[in-house]
Order: sequence, then C-alpha cells, then structure tokens
Amino acid sequence: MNNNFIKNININQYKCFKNFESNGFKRINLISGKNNIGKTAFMEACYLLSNSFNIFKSNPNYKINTGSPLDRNWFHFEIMKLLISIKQNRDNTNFLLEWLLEEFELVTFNSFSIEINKKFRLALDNNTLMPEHFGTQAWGSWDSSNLAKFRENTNYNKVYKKNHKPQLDNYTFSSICNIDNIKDMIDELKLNEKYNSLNKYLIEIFNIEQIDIIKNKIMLKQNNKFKGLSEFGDGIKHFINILVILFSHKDTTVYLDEIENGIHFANLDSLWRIVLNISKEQNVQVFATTHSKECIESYYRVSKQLNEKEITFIEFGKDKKNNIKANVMDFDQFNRNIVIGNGVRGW
Amino acid sequence: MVAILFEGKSDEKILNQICDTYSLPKEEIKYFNFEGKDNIFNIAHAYYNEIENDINNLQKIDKILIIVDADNDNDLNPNRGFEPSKNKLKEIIIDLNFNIPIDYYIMCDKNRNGNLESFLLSVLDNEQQECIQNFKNCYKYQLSDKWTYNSFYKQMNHPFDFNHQNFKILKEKLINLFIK
Repeated sequence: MNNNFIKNININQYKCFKNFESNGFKRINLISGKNNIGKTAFMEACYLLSNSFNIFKSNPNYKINTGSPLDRNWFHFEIMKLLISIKQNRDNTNFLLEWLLEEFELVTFNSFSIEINKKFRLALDNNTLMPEHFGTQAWGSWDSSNLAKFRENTNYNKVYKKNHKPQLDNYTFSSICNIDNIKDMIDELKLNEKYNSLNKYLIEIFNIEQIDIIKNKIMLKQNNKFKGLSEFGDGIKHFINILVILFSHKDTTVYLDEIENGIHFANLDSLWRIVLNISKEQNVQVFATTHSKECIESYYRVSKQLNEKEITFIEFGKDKKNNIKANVMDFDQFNRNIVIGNGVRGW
Repeated sequence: MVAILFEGKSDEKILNQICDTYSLPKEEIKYFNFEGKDNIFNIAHAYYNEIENDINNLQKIDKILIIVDADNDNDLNPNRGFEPSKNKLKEIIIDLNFNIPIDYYIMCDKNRNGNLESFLLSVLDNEQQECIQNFKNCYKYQLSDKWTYNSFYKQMNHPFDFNHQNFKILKEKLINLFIK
C-alpha cells in the first residue's frame, strides 16, 4: 500500500472523539454508523492530518532529512487554511463568508490532538497550533503558532487581498467542492489525458457524450447538443463531482461524505465500480461515509465482483462509557458479516 | 448486542425462524458460523479473537450463546456425544476467559443423541414420527436424521411448531440473552 495513505489514526481529542485509536485502513474505506456518531468528524480529522502531513512532505528536503529549511510561517498558514476549509464544510458556509468574518474577529477552533501513521501529530491547544513529526530529529523542535497572531504571518499579505477570495487549494473533501472548484478541476483535466477517461465514464453510465466548460458554465453534451449541468438531476452532478475529484488526484487521500447522496440505488454499483477502478488507477485512498444499507450492499457486491481486497468497512459505535469506537473489517470479515446477515450499521 | 455461535448454515436458518416466532430483536444478534463443531472447540480460532475485540475493545457484545450438536457418542472423536460435548463446552468457556455471561445449548433428540436435525424431528407429532419410522423400517438401510430432515422437511419448508415443549429450553436461553 502507498506510503502516503493513512494506515492508522490516534485522536486524543477532536470534537466528539476522545482517546480514539483505529488502524488497518486500506485503499478504500467505507464508514457507517448511527446518526451523529461522528463519521464526518472522523473524516475531518483524517483530512486535516493527512493534508498537513502532505504539505509538510511537499518540502523538497523532506526525503533527504537535511535540517529545517521549511518556511514554518507558510506551513502554519497552510494548516490554518485547512482548518477554515473544515469549518466551511461543517457550517455549510462558503469560504469567503468565513474569511470576511475572520476580518473582524478570528474564528475560534476547539482544541484538538490527532496523530496519523505514528509519524505526524497536530495539536491545537488554547489557539496554539503545534505540529510534530516523529523521527526527523534534524528538523528540530517545531515552532508553535498562535492563531490569534495569524495576521502577523509573513504570508498573510501575500495571500489575503481585501474582498478577494483567497485561494483554497485542497479539494479532496467532496462536500467542500463547490462548482467553481469543479470547473477549475475540469479545466485541469482537459490539459491531460484524464479528460477522455472522464468522458468515457459519462457516456457509459449516462449516455453523455462530453463535459465541457462553455461561457464559464459546466455543460454536458447529449444527442449532439450541449445543455447546462443545472438541467440534469442531482445524481449526475454528484457522479461528476466524484469522477472529477478522483481523476484530479494522485497518490493522496480523498474524502467523500455521504457518498450515495442523490444517487439512485440502481446506479450504486456503477458508482462503486468507478470509485474502486479509478482509485486503483490513480493510487488514491478513499474514505467515504454512508447511511444507506443499499449502498453498503452495493459496495460489498462490487468489491467481490472486482475481487478487490484493498478495502475495509468501518462500523462506528459507542462503548459503555460513551466513547466512540471503530470496528475496522477487512474484506473477509466484511464478507462474512454481510453473507450471514449481521447488522453492520453501528451499535 | 449478543453473539450466537453455531456450527453451520442450517442452525442459522432455524435460529432466524425461531427469533421471528418469539419476536426477538434479530438486529441485536451477531451470528458466528464456525463451520464445524471442532472449530467451536478450538479457542485459537480467529473468530474468538474477533469476539474478544467485540467484548473488550468495542464493548459491542454483552452475552454469548454457543449452540452445538450432541452427535453420537460412539464416534471416535472424544468430543462427540451429549456429556463429552457438555464437558468440552464448560472447559472452553473457562479457557476463553471472557468477562461476560456465556451460555450453551446442545442440539439432540430425546435420547440426547444426534444433531440439529434430530432435535427438529423430535418436535414432530407421534403420527409423523411413526410414519418416518415406518419408512426407515421399510427402507432397511440406516438413514441419518440429517438425511430424513433434508429429504422430508427442509425442501418443503415444513412449518415447525416452535411452541412445542422441546423448544422450551432453547427459547428461554434465547430470551435470556436479551435480558439486561
């Protein structure tokens, strides 16, 4: 499995999670559990940590482990953007609005402490951000950064322009993906061979010949005529979001919250075939959540058909002390529970 | 949740029917099909690791019921027959050392022999039992309860009287699983 993938997570504290440990994640991970158990919060924790870690690792000196040339102000600033993107997703607001609010009073975040792959930890304590990478002694002790002094960041003026939306450059959380991001991503895909693959899937599943950006709008070509995406149903929009997100990423992790949302149950198998195939092709790890029994059954069916063993099914529940626990099932365990008819949607 | 451990698919099918009849909450049951009695008696079996995780880490399972066939004690295997099966069950329950209540039920006929099928045939009324016996006498060759059940009842989805007194102990054990 790819070294960039999340294999385990340890959440000392994040929203509803306390002293939570889980491991055994594979390339595709479907999460289920009762309402408000913390499925999305779990994905947020993974998102925050894996992307912070990726930003850290994007430094060219990471692999050769030579001292600490990393611009820590820049690094803290990037993490701050990730935090805001999570808040945007949770509060269902847009980034600009959050940003403008921030102009008057800095948005507050609850303290947290999360660790992935026993390598990288990120903690926020009393508004002080503390990243830590284990085993890279040469990088020295990490500076902490106080969010209240965010505007003193040397990069702040470079990125922030009054009344201009700052650039959020991570689109891996699907519900963060607004239509502007999708347009940018489609434009990017047009520059490489993935654009043809995207169209191939659209014609196979929806008989849509082509997707394109015309007059700054997403248009779909059907029966030789272009129509606006808004004329199509939510299911197609959601499929397109997922296709574009998967094709736009490589060697990283993407998060698809409520993956079945708006998709007719008859198309669930196609959805999973896409996710399983493209994630393999692009070497992308996927975390997805669902409430739907049909979606879980479809996931099982398609994994079995494709003989895909790099999957897990994660069932969330609570112990007697109300702590959240995760039951991570590999394919064989998942297979056995489904075949025998055991409930897998939380306890 | 509770866990029910059993030997094979036939147990699962009948247990589902019994749970429906007694309106027991099936969604609260986690079934483990061990695919054989010897697997149930092997405390190193992988399912026991999963059950231990369910009990100690996830705190998902509160009670366990193990169901095995008595089998016939003339078998060479030392764990066949009602008493040997009972003794082995008591032994593994101690060895497993799970800190939750574990009960067991042994499937058998009125002579404490046989298996699930013998148990199910034992609830048939006298006339039906006589009819089967006549067939067996006429056929001359020995016919197992499994064959008889599968040939005469399973194919026809014969409706068993789950309120028959022979189901009483099993019913009590199943109901007890859900008493907090």
